[in-house]
Amino acid sequence: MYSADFDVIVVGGGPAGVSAAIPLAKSGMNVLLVDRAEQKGTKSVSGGVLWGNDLEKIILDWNKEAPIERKIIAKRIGMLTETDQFTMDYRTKQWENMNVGYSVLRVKFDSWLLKKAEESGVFVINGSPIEKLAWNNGRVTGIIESGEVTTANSVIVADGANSRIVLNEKFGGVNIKGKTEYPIENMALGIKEVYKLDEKTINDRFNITYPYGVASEYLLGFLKNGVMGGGFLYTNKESISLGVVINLPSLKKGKLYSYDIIEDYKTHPFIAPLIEGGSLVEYSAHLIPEGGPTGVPKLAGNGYLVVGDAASLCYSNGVVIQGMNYAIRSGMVAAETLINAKKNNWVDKSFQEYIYRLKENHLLEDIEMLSHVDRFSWNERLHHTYPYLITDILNNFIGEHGNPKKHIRTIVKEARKKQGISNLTLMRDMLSWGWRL
Amino acid sequence: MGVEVVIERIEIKNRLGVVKYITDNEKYAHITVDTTICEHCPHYFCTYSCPAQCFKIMGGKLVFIYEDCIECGTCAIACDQGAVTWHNPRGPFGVIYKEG
Repeated sequence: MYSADFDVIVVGGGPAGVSAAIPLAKSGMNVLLVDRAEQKGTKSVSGGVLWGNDLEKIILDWNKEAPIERKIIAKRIGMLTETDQFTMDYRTKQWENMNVGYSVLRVKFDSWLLKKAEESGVFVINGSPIEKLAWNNGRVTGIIESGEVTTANSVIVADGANSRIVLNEKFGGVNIKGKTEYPIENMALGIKEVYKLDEKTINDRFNITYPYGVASEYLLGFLKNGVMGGGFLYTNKESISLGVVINLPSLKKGKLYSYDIIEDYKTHPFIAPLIEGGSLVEYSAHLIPEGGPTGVPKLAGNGYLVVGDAASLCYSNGVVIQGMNYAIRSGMVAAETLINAKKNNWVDKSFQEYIYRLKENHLLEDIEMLSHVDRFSWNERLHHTYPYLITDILNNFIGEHGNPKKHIRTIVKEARKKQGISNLTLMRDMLSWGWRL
Repeated sequence: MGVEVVIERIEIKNRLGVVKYITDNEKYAHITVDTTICEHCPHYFCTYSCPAQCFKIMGGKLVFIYEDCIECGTCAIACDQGAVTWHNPRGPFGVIYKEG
């Protein structure tokens, strides 16, 4: 065995990379983490809720120390038409004492994560975009930057949704006109605006008290030309993260401008009052892997593992969008795999254990489920027919319009006819909601 | 009695105005577009999908600017004609987010 510069090189300093690097360094390995941002965290973007408490296994009492914005204690899921809104508002006292989710702003958060990595003995290099791996005899032997090779016994690919390594090394993607690229069916486009508002205004408008916060997500039924998208609103301590997630194939067909869609959402009569008076402090965008199992690249090979968004380990069914928690979990699983691989003198087959360990930790099962939910979350009827159907039914059922009272069955039937939905279609969609969600 | 809250749409160029960048020299532009290929493009999806309006049709031709790019990667996958080549910007360059 040749002598490598490092035991492990981790490419990417987001939650996935750091969650792999910390346990590896703590196990006594010689770990280099390279990140493309010159100043820590400044290339990181996400919608903004870190679900779950997986970090606890890596950083004890992380939530007492980390720069988190608010603890999520309520979730609002709804649909918007031009004039109507239907929302389910779930809130529980239980979440106040649990670690269900936290709103975060990633520049602060990732920079903290990287500092924790350094404290654990990880050697962190900033400002180094890596796009190629070094190979020898069918085995990854390190990374290449500006033609120079830094060697390692293993490499963890954690460079995010827009991973250049996954494409350049052909671990994933498809060939389109001679270039390896991610198909638009496997990615959604997230666009976000952050509005500064004072803490009290946010508390009042969302009926909460700091340190508690709310995560809201809406289907945007009012989008024109069949474009499908969702809108989110997450409360931070003194700002609101407002954004949209856009289905790319429908955008291509519908020919709307992505940067207009977020303004359509922001100026909606029921969204605008929530951010009124706020000042725009940031505009950002990020791809969201959501190809389900078809989007997952080759996860492991001789000398390398792929984690987090780069591995397309992201869960989104239109109501639940989770990425950072899967990033953290896959990073931890990668670390376990490599700790064992080192014990086995880095033999090639020890890298394949990563797949089994991911299965053991239910990561791949969750992603597998997406092959079923896909039909639900990016369903044309769900986005453009049901918001109108449901609000029409409620309008007639709840409201007083000076007409003779009608049975709910009649109201549903009339609304259904107006939207051109047959009984059979309605039943089929309801079943697929129930079973697939 | 209530007052309807009207929130202004913000022009994309003004939204990009709050974003901080360190712009690299044009010869190191991290995205390159072979616009001769674009002349035959059936959809110009890049102009609709890019959230930073880096792709525009001007005088019937596709014009690309790399300076406003916020590094999402959408253009590379929106282009199925092989015209877009995407790399990460060099070390200190490109977008510098403050919030994330």
